[in-house]
Amino acid sequence: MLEHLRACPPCQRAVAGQDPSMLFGLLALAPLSPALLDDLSRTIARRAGSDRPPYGALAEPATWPRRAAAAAMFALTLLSGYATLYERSAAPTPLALSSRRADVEVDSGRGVSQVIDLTVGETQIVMVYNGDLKL
Amino acid sequence: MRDDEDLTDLIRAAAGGDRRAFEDLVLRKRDRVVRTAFQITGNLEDAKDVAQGVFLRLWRVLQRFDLTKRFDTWLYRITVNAAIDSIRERGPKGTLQALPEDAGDRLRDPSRGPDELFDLRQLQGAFFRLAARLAPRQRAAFVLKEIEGLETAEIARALGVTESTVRNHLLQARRILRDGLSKDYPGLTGGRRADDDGEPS
Repeated sequence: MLEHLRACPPCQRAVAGQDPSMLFGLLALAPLSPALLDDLSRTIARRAGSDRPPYGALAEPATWPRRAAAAAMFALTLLSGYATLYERSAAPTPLALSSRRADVEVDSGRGVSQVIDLTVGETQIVMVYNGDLKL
Repeated sequence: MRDDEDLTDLIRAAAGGDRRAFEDLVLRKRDRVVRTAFQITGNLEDAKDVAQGVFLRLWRVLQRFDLTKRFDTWLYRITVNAAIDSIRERGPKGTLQALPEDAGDRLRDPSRGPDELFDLRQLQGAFFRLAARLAPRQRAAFVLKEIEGLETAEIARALGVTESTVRNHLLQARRILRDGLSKDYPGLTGGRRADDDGEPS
């Protein structure tokens, strides 16, 4: 079709009469220099050899922001791990909680059969069981 | 159909790291990539740089290509974006190169025959001169439609815009080119040889 248009003056005029900009479609026939194309192929082949690591979707070379972010995350992980260990080893021995315990007196003569008195962390818990209580 | 299957095999192999398959792919597609880039940038060296960048990028990201999609559309998309970037990188003078004044003389002269009027080299000169008046996306839409012969829907996918936007780009581009041809190249639009009464065949 384009070849015909290129060689047929009456058709050219008909196209030009309708919309001359359509004549630019003939540029699809414009030949490209084989030397340029071959040079392009050679350059691409050469550069492709060193431009892509041989693995799948992760083949995109890491850009410097990616590398920096990864390094920062790694450093942060190391630091937080170290800080945790340091805090544990350096933490002062807890004071004897017994010195701060509240005095709880239970009259064992009034139906109390069991008393549990314990401390969890800094919380003192005293449980008293009285079988005489009717709840 | 066989070509499509061959192409899919080629893409799959190249995506898997087969360099020979990739080189075959380049061989198959280099003409259209260079031609598209050339028509958009208006400069052969820029077109070569664009094509090189397009294929190297392709080599790196081919694994991500969805084989159910149309490869050429994807390739055109990468090419058009790279070509437009290339124009913009040129800065304030980011327009197509104007040819020397005498480059289109044969096109301007109505006394010359139509067979000469459509000498492709001269037609190319006229296109570059007039396409410099188009916005990059209008130029890209026109090139894909009239020179590469793509359908509007495919151009829309390649440019990442709606079909109505493509139609609008084409409308504007044709109007500007038509006006430019009428004004600057009357030999193309109105020039007739007195001895040529042929009818369109």
